[in-house]
Amino acid sequence: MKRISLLRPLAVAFAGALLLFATGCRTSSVDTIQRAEPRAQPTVVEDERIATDRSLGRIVEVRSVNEAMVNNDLLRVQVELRNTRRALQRFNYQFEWFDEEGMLIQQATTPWRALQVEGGEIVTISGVAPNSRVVDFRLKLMTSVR
Amino acid sequence: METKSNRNSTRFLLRLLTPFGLGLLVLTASTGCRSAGYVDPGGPRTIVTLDDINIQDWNEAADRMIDSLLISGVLDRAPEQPSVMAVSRIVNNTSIQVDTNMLTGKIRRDLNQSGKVLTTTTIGLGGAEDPLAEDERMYQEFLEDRPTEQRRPYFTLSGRIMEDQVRAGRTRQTTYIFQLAMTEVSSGLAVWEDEVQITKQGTRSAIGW
Repeated sequence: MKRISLLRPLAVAFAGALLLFATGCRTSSVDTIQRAEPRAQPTVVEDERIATDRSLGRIVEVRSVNEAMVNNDLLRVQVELRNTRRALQRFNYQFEWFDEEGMLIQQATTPWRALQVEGGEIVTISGVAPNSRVVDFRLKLMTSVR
Repeated sequence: METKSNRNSTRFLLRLLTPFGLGLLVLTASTGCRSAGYVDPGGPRTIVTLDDINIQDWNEAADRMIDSLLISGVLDRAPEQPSVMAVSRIVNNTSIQVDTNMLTGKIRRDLNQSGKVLTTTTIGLGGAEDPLAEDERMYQEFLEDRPTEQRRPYFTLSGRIMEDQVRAGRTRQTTYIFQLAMTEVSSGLAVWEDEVQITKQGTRSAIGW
């Protein structure tokens, strides 16, 4: 009698997963070229980081956090991120804004934004304070929920 | 003692059930088997569809437009602060029916809260948005027998929403293009223009992004 192997369905599933990985998740790392000594003199923000997702910390590197004023009254924050992996990664981020008394400014639109970063790519995300009362910000970063 | 026939039957059953089990597991994972609940409309757990402009698309388009408008500084150049803005025509050139207030409403509210712009609700395309306010103003003019000091819009906001659909095999890609322009009424010049493109790709709708 022909012997039935239980490993066969698993082998097929593994091969399928491998095929999916090979065709659907091709890595394409980004090389970056920039001025050796940048002329820009950004105002660097001393930041505090509260990391709860270790894997996110390994995937994304926060290179710098800068701030500037828009038209002398609106705070603008710019954060430079780098995908440390070779494969494309998807993140979501959201800026929150606080006034002098530390109160959160509620806006009509404070949505999370999707961000996809190619392997090794450096991206810059920025946010503009909704009004001139804003003095502080908070950036929230998470991996894609899918 | 287990017979050869019994062992074969067990193996046959396992062979039959393993793909079903795996299939069920995948189905459960993909659909979630969830009953209705609330999600944050501004959060990343909303539904993504290919044939509609979803709430997160409106939010992102509005948010990026507001950032661009505030950074441009054009609002600060108006002689009278805060300046007055009226919403003009937003043309929908997509294949779906949308309420363009989903875009302009958010922009209006956030600009208003920025303290840089006030929106008039008595001057608008095709008549006043708030007819009662307009009636009251006219009644006031009649009673006082002199024109009220109604501020005229310094800026108007107009725009267009377009779409681009392509397909490769079963994978579909839809891009929604939001174009907005701020016109200075006195000069008729578009003092600010921007475009936001939102592209979605996939074979079917999904929960979360």
